This record gives sequence, structure tokens and C-alpha cells, in this order.
Amino acid sequence: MTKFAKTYDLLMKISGVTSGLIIFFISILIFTNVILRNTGGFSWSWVTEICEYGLSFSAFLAAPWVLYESAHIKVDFLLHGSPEHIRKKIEVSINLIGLIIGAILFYLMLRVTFEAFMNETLKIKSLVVPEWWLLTAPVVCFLLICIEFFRRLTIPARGSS
Amino acid sequence: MDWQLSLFLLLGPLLLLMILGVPVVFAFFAINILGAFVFLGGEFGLVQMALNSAEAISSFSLIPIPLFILMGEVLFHTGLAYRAISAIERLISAVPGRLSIVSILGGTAFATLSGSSIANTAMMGSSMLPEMERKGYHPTMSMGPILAVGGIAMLIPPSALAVTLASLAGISISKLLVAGIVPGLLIGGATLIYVLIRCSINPQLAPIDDAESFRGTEKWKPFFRDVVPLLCIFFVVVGSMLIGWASPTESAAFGVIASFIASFCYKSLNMKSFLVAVFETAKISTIILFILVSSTTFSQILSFSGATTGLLNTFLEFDLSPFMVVIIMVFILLILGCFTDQISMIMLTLPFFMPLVASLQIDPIWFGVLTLIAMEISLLTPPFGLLLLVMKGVAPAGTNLGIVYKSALPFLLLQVGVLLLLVIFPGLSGLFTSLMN
Repeated sequence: MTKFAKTYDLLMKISGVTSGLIIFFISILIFTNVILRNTGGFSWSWVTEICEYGLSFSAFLAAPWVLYESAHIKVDFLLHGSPEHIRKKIEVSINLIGLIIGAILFYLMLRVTFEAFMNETLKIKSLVVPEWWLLTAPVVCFLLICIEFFRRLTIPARGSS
Repeated sequence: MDWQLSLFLLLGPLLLLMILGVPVVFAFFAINILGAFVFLGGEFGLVQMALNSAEAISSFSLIPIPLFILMGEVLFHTGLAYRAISAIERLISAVPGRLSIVSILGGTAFATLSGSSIANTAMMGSSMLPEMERKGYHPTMSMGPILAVGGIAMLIPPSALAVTLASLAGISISKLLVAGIVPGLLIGGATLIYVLIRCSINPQLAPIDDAESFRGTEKWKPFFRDVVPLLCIFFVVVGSMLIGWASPTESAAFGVIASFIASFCYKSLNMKSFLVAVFETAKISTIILFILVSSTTFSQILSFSGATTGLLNTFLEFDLSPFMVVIIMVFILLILGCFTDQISMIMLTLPFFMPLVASLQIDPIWFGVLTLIAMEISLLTPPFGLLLLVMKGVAPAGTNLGIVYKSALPFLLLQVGVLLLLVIFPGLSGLFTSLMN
């Protein structure tokens, strides 16, 4: 394994664990809030919002890692039923399509984030949060997805046939 | 643009990409890009689609999905589920097909604690199958019952897929979760009776067990020590919803904390099991949630293009009774389930089915339960039934898919029977939901 591959592998694993830990902390936060509401007579109004942002952040953070693990759901009967040389061509096509989709979404996400930053748009609920903070996770997500599809075009993917 | 052309433009390339093997979520993203450009106004539509996608899962109602998965993963990876299965095994002796019965009861018990059918089947398959194979059980009696009860996790709360379905369909999450209990128990019961009858008529299917027979404390102590406290987790989840203490989301958090407390009390929780549980939770939840990111926008584009209304009006022109419409919708789900996964099934059909359900005044909770059962059946239908592939993965080397298919067949028919029962007697699914009212 090259130094880049090792670093990349570590980055992906950190994304996965962080995503899982966010879910764990969401459960602690909600549990504490319900206990406070039923026993202490008050609750934190910001919990719902933090959990919503946490859920979104967790999914966008882990999506490239799930792709790296070849775990996204796919219908692969054509892939498995084809001879070796055809299968390789199909895999290249899939990765190319994935790269194009990822690149378009990365550009669009970057654009909306940049616009939100320039316009200083705010998300106002219980908390007041600059909108571009919330849009950063999808930008990073689709950038990593592009890198992963590009990597697959050159190196066989984990768990691929 | 004609609605037929819109429909073709959206569904045609989508199916093509899916068949090619593009991950489902990216196939949907591709169509979203195409659809947003064509139907939502070019560049403006694309920007709007990006914003919608970024915010699609920032919803409190979706939080039970990862939390229900985390509950099951904690019990699975800390070994508590295995302890519960061995305690149940001690209770059952001198019955035909003893280990099959243990699998059914154990699988149903674990379904009350896990939100994932895959975890349920993998756990039961890896723990029970080797022993049944060694004792000469026929595949129908070894793999079949495990496959049959594996899917019950999707019906009996906590169920991550029920939450997903309710969110996508816009129906009450708590009502759908509670409505799944009766069909889940019916499938468990039907499986149990089938195994008992078949093994009584033909004992060779499950040779008589020479397992040690336990009595008194030896027999019951592990049950009260390893099973009863775990079942409290189920009552914490469902009970907190039923008495109105907690919303479904909050009850899921209670379930997670209860699972961790149980693992801690049994001294089974360590850093390794904790990390594996959160790792697996992140993976399964992201698979589901990321698909929801793409599907939410897809439904909006489908509706905006006029395809949903066009198809709906055409369907209504046939002047079919609501009952016939339900039969047709369930049939479509069953056929689709043979070729695609559960999330894709509902993502493709709900944008059409739910408006139909609303316009014909069909009870959405009842229809949700029927959809859940159809989704469960699809886990067992060849060629791509997910649990069939999971079972092949945990079965001893040399077990081919043909044997797995055959072993699942009788149980598949039983589940279709339960589905028909629920179609004919809609009141069955509402037994517990009426308590909530």
C-alpha cells in the first residue's frame, strides 16, 4: 500500500467512525432532553435543530466512505452475468458516470455555498446559523466522491467484482 | 411536454442506469440533474435541486433510522443477542424441529430489539445454522425458518425501514410502527405452526435432538437473566410511544440508551464492540439516508413534470374499486421486489401510489403495512432477495443459491398468505393503533 493509499484509507475510516459517533451523541442528546422535560420541567429548544444538522452532516460525511467500501446499493446482475472483458468495460462506464455526476453536484454545491457565503444568508430557527456552514458537508462529500470515482478508474475498488 | 414523454424521460434513463449497475443513489442523482434542467428551468432548476438535496435529510422525523439501527448493532456486536438465543434454546426441548423453533422464537425476539433485517438474518444464520447442519436438518428446516423470521425485523418495531417508508409516504411514523406488530407476529406464528406440522409429519426433516435436557433453575435462570431484561428494551421503545411520553424519534433514543445500559450491565461493552457497532450503524444508515437525499428531489421533479398527475388520472379513468387498486399496487410491489431492493421499490412507486391512496380515500396506514409486508416478501424473492444472499454468505461452504431459494419457498408462500389476510381483513393491522387513539 502506498503512502497516499494508507492516508486515504485512514481518512475514509475516520469519516465512518465520526459519522457513527455523531449518531451516538444524537441519541444521548435526545435522551437527556426528554429526561429533563419529564423530570425537570424544561427542555433545550435547540436539541431538535442540532440533531437535524447532525444527521445531515453524518450522512454526507460517511457517503464517500460507503462508496469506498462498495456498499451503496446497486443492481449488479448485468455486471455479474457478463464475461470478464465486458465486465471491465461496464465498471469503467459506471465509474465514469459516477465521476461526471459527482463533479456536477460538487460544482452546484460549491456554487450554492459560495452564494450563501457572499450573501451572508442565515438559517434562523432556535439557533441562528450562517447557511454556508450547513452547506459545507455536501461540498466536501461530493469532492471526496469525485476523488473516489476517479481512483476507481485507475485502481480496482474495494469489494468490487 | 406530454406526461407520457416526461415519464419516459425520467424513468427510462433511471432504469437503464440501474440495470447497468450504477449505484441506485447515483442513478437517481443523474436523473435529478436531467429532470431539474428540463423541468425546473435550466440553470435555476439545477441550483434549486442542489439546495433541496443539501437540506433533504435535515429532518428530525428521520432520526429513528440510524438510532433503531444502532440499537440492534449494539446488541449484536456485544454478544447479548447470542446469549439470549442460547437461553431460549434451553427452554425448548422435546418438540419436533427443536432448533428450527429456537430460530423462530429467537429471531422474533431479536426483531423486537433490532431495526435491521440483515443483522437479524446474519446473526441467526451464523449462530444457529452450523449446529442444525451438523445435526442433519434439511435446508428447508434450517435455513428456511431463519430466512422467514429475518424479515420480521422490518415489521416489528423498532424498524428503520418503516420509518423510511412513513417519512417518504407522509404518514404517521408511530402509527405505522405500531401497526406492524400484528402482521409481524402473524408471520412468526404461521412460521412456527408450519415447522411444527412439517416436522411432526416428517421427522427426517429435523432429526431428533440429543441435546442436554435442563430442568428447574438451570432451565429458567438464563431466560430471566439473558432474555427478560432485553425484552424490557422493546417495552421502553413501544411503551414510551404508546403512553405519549415520547415521540417515535425520542423513543428510539431511549432504545439506544437502554441497549448500551444492558450491554454495560452484562459487562459485554468494550471499546472494540462499541466502535464496530457505531461503524456498522454509520454504514447502514448512510446507505438509506443518502438515497433519501436523492429520492426527495426525484419525487418533486416527477410531480412537477406532470407525470404523476397524468398517470394518476389515467388510472382513475378505469374506474376501479379501491380494493382492486390496492390489489394492483401490491402486485406491482411484489413484482418489483423480485428485481430491486426495498428502498428503490418504495422510491419508484410511492410518488404514484400515495396520491392514488389519497384520492381513493384508502387508509394510508393499512396501505403502509401492506407495503411493508410486500417489502419483507421481496427480501425472499429470487433472484435478488437480499436475505437469500445474506444467508448464502453465512451458510457453510458449498451451499449454492438454488438450495437457499428452495428452502425459502414454503415460507415465502406463508408470507404471501399473511399479506392476503391483511388485504382481506384490514382491521388486523389496526388492532394496536386503535389503542393509540
